[in-house]
Parts: sequence; C-alpha cells; structure tokens
Amino acid sequence: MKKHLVFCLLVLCAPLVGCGKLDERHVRRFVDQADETARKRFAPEICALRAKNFTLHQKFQSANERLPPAELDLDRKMFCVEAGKFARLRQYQLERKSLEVDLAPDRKTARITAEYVETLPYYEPDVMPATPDDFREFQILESRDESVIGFEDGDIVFLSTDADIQQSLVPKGSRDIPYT
Amino acid sequence: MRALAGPAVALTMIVGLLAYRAAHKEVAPARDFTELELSLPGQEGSCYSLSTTFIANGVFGKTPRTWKKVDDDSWALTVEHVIQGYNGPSREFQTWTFERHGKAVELVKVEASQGLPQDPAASLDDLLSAPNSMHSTPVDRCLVTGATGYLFKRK
Repeated sequence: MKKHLVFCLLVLCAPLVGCGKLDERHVRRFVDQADETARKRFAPEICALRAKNFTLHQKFQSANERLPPAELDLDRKMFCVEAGKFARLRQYQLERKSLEVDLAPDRKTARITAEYVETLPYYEPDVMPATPDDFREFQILESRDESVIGFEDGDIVFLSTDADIQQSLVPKGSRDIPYT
Repeated sequence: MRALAGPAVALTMIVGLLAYRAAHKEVAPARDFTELELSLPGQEGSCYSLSTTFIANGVFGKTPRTWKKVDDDSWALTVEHVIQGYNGPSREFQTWTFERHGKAVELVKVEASQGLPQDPAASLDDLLSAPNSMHSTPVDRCLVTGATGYLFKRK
C-alpha cells in the first residue's frame, strides 16, 4: 500500500520537477504565442503575457532622420492601454526576422533578442482619420527587441522589453496588407 | 457531513470573492476627500470640488490614473498618456499632490512633463478652465448669491 502511495506521489510530482525552469523549446513556443497574440491585436491577451512589474523602454527613430529619436518608458498599465489602441487597426502585419535565446544559468529567466518588421497604417499626428482607411502611407517599423522573460504565478511572461525601432514610410498602394 | 458541503462551498466562494475584490480594489481617496473644495495655499477656494474639477477635465473614465496615499490628509494623483508626435510616441504625465486643510483640499505640488504647467498656480488655472467654461456645479458655499472663488465665473 505504502509503495503504491509513494509511486502515486512520484507520478503526480514528476511534471512539477521541471516547473519554474525554462528550456529553449518553451521559450521559442512562448515567443511564437506572443507574436500570434500581437497579430490578433487583442489587448487582454497581449497584456496577459506581461508580468505585473513589466516595463518597456522604447527608442523610436522616425522616418524623418532630422528629428531626434523619441524615447518612451511604460509600465504594464500604460503598455496595456496602448495595446488597446492596437485594436483600431484594420491592417497589420508582423514578421519575425530572427530570434536568439539566451537562458540564464538557473533557467528561471531567459534573454531573448528578436528582430521584427511591422507594417501598419501611418496616421499623421495632427490629423484625425475619418475611417481606419483614411491614411496615405504605410509605416514600416523595423525593430530589435531585447526582452527578459521568466515565470510569474507559474506562467511564462515578459518581465521587460527594450525596443529599438526604425520607421520608414511607403505609399499606401505599394503594399498589399490584408484586412483582418 | 453532506449537509455542510453546500454551505462550505458557498462560504469558500464568498471568502474568495471578497479576497479577490480586496486585492484588486483601486487605491483612491475617500469621497469625503474628493468632495472638498479645490484651492491653492493662501487663496480662497475655487468653488469647485476636486471631483467636479476632474470630471470636467475628463480625468475620470478611461484616462490612466494612479492615486497614491502620501499620508492621512494627503494624496497624489498621476495622470498619463502616450502622445504621438512626428518623432514618435512619448509619455506625457502630470502628478498633483493634494492636502486636506479644513473644508478645502489644496494643490500643493505639481510634477509634469515638459510643456505642461509646472507649478501649482499655473496647473490649477489650467485645471479650472474646464469647470469654469462648462459652468460645472459649484460647491454649496458658492451657490449663495455674492459668493466668490478663485477664478470662479458665475453662470
């Protein structure tokens, strides 16, 4: 009877042994999931992948090279508000160009470096669009993101992201971005 | 034993719900603080309560805001936005610190992004333009004929 009990406990605990440890496969799967969530542009799901103390630092160089880059620091609350604005877009494309994973020695966290190309409508700052289609150019955002991911409440989440973004503008007719 | 199972489950759910609500409750001052008349130190009251001023400025609703308790009679409110400029997105914020003094709440300190009012007097003038232009409901003291207030414009 005792042997059975010990065996049952071992079987039940086995999946937990790996708990709290990351491996590259987990990390890549998590990044795939995060990218897919971004493509859906559904803020609650985007937010759910960020830790309570998540921070974003973003450096943005506009297409006009004469302007200095804009730097932005956001906590999770503000990040989620911005993610909510994402839902207004009708055309959005996200392509990941590269992904590097660097696991911490204790495998509790990992540093991921990814390069992305995003294509989305460019609405000029001082112009209120009449419809989501009311824009003349697409903006292409080439970014290099360095993120730290780890566990929170048993789930893998982004702990921080440092993004370096370069914007370029192309005429609306030069890209065929499907409506989603 | 079975008779107790139902009430036990219900009790567990209620306790869980109360714990969840307590943990997720937004930290904010009590209504008796936000209903006080807004003023500047050394000036007469503005005739508008703190809550009326914020409602007129659209601070409530979907605006991201964070209250922080400084002490029993003092609260700080941070309101922030991301604004899209030609050089990209940037964060704009204002933090106001309010202190209770008798029947008034005084704006004693302001921290804000560049381009926004940086001192309490300028910031209060900015805040009061909305309730004054909308003729928001003043506090009881200013409903009396002849009552005056800092920058107050009677309808």
